[in-house]
Amino acid sequence: MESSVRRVQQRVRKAREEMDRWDDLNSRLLSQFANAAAIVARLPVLEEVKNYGVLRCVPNIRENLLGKQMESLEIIFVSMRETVEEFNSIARSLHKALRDTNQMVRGGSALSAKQMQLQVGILPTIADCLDGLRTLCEMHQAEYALKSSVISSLTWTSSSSDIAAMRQLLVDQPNIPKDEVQAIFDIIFADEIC
Amino acid sequence: MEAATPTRPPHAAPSSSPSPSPASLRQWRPAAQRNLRNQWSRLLAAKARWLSAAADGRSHASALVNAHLSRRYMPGMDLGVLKDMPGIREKASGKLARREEQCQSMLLSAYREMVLATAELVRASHSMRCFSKVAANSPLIRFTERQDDMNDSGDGGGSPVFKWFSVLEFENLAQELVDMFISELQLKRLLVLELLSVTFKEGVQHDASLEWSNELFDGEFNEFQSIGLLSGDSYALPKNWSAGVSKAWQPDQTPSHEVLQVYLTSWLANVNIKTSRIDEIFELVGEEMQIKLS
Repeated sequence: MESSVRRVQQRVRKAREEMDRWDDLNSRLLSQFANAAAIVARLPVLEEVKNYGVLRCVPNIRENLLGKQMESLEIIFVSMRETVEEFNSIARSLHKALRDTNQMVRGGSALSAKQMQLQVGILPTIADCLDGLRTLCEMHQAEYALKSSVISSLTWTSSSSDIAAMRQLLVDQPNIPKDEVQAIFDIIFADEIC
Repeated sequence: MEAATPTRPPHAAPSSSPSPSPASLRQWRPAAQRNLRNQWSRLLAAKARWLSAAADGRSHASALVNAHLSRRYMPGMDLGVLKDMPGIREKASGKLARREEQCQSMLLSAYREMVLATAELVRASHSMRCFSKVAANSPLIRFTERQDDMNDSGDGGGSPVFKWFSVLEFENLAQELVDMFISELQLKRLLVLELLSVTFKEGVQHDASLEWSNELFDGEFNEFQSIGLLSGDSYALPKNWSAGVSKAWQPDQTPSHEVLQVYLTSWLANVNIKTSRIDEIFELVGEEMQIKLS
């Protein structure tokens, strides 16, 4: 029984390593978002001929500059979508961890409901581990969906207040409450924190 | 050797000479290949030098604008608890003014670096041909970048140097690169001029006022002369620019926050530099020469 729990813990540990990439990815996403937002915020200024000062003597400068900015914006959009795809791959690998673990305990010599609930010393029960992992999966899946929709609603016409709100959502990551995640790990790795 | 290379005006390139004998072509080709490889590596290095100088220039320009705006807004700035300190605004303004001066000189040296890199680009682009050296009483043919014999156009009669491209085609690709960097250099020069004037105007150096025809650093016009940007003794605005606006260089009107933002953005954007086209050119040429240019 204990070895089953150990195996499940091992699987969750691997899933946790995947999750560690999430925060790095989020900082990357935030900096890409900030770059895009800076360009979007500049566009109205760049559209006004009167803001070109002495540059007005250079033919087509306004069109060229706006064109270049749109090009850069497009490039940032593409790289943001790539980053969001990486969030998706983390969410998917959490799902896989959940499936694997389910199979581990239900396939083969399936554990009974009683065994699932069995607590050996300070070790978590297998049911606890599965519940925890399922919650983590759902959180990350939902957060990926949120990020994906935030990123796709950012366009070159977004207002500065919209942009601020989007940024806040990306920072807050409302679907992944940090304390709840910690509580889940505290249960699953109860034997390690003591 | 490089310094002695004469620069040819871009449009006066000699046309292909009548096809040389197969024997002389056989001797010419390896020398021409070696030369082209060298010149394209020079172009690549000069391009990198140019872009890195432009990036330095950008950070100095934006530090300059920040210091300048802070100084401009100093009188109305909310200083919180510091506001009662005697002379605080004056001291802060003085510091900012010194900071502006530092940024200006750094901006100027970044610009100088860009001029030198551009000159290097132009020189390499004008050194693509490979001429046979006239040596009396010697059976060996030697090759050089200098044209000794007016009947030798240095292009192997227009035949392919490696697989497909003739010297002229290499020259045209190089020219396309050079044109981008030159037009961007002119734009940057206008911005440097403007950014230096802005802060001159507001008290650092009241008496100085800069115009397009001023030399921005010692030797700038020598460089321009050597790459054919300067004809006669004054430096004129690029042909297609409208002189009307530049005449309206308003001496007492300081550019607004928005205008400065547009200046910084245009510095950053390198509008005349088509990066993907540049990569394409180096890739094309690298493939043709069987070397890696990137």
